[in-house]
Amino acid sequence: MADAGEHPPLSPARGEPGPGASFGAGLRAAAPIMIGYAPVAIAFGAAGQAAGLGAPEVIATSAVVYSGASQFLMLTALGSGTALPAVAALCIALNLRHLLYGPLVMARLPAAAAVRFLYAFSLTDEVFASTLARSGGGTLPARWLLGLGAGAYGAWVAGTALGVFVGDALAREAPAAAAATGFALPALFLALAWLNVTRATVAPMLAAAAASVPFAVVGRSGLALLAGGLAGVVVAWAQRRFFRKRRASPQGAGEGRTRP
Amino acid sequence: MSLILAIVVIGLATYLTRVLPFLLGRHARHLSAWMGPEGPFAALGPSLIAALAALTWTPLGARALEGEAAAPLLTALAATVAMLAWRRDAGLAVVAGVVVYAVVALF
Repeated sequence: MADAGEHPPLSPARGEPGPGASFGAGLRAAAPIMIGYAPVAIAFGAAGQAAGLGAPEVIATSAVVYSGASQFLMLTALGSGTALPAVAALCIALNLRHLLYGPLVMARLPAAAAVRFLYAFSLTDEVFASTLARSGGGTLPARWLLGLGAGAYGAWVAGTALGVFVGDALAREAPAAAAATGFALPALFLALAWLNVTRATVAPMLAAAAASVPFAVVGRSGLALLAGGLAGVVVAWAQRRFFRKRRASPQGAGEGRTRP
Repeated sequence: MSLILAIVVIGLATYLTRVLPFLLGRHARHLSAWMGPEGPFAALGPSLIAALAALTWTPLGARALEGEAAAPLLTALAATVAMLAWRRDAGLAVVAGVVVYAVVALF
């Protein structure tokens, strides 16, 4: 799914829904997310179809998993014969960032457990960003939150169904175009990687990519992802340790330099 | 193990990562210490995405080196990167890449 940073933060006065904000207002607030989700969901539907999954299975994946990166990971890993427990573990690892979202928005949600648990199902990167952008001070209305989540979810599942239909029609009518849908998955991961690059993540991400390539060459997808994740965490740890040392001893940081 | 069971298991695992903070309540702040920018697993998500990118591009690159579908692949790659640089939108980048791939593959 798209980068959470693409939605500009709204000032509370302009963007925060009032206490009586309706389900429909939540749906309208989801419109930018829906527009962003549609092409990726269509690409997933077409890629699932191209991978040999049936229409009900592809649509059920979007309806039940509802996580773009996990779903594409699932297609890649299951398609190459990775064992289900390993795929599930990789999906959990990929989604660990979600653990951060709940604590950040919790104070703004209604206290009712049912609302929180329903909202949690829809807590994608983009729904989190939209909720946070509307967090001015008070509790957000339950109906508005559920409308926001339902709009994003509906767009994702409907887009997947459309992708399945389009993918099937393409395979019959235009095989060249159908072959192009196979490009959707690498393009999506390239895009997600691009959007995740920061000064802090670039070295771990390069290490992860380098560590996974040898396993990818021999077709071991599960090992490639495990090696990549491990390499990234180790390099990030080394990076933090190195920079902390530099901050702790600024004199040492300039050693070896011949000029200021 | 059936695909439907796999979908349900992965769906439950995904939901668990989203709902766990709400189940933990005020204890959820400990999660931030592990997953936040200074936490030991801060780089795990981006690293896995980078590994996935390498995993999906490796076979495409190998086929392109052998001359198979090299032109559509390279032009689609250029279109994807150009769209990312221009709009920073994953959806649009995917659409641009797929459309350019299809157009070049036709000729």
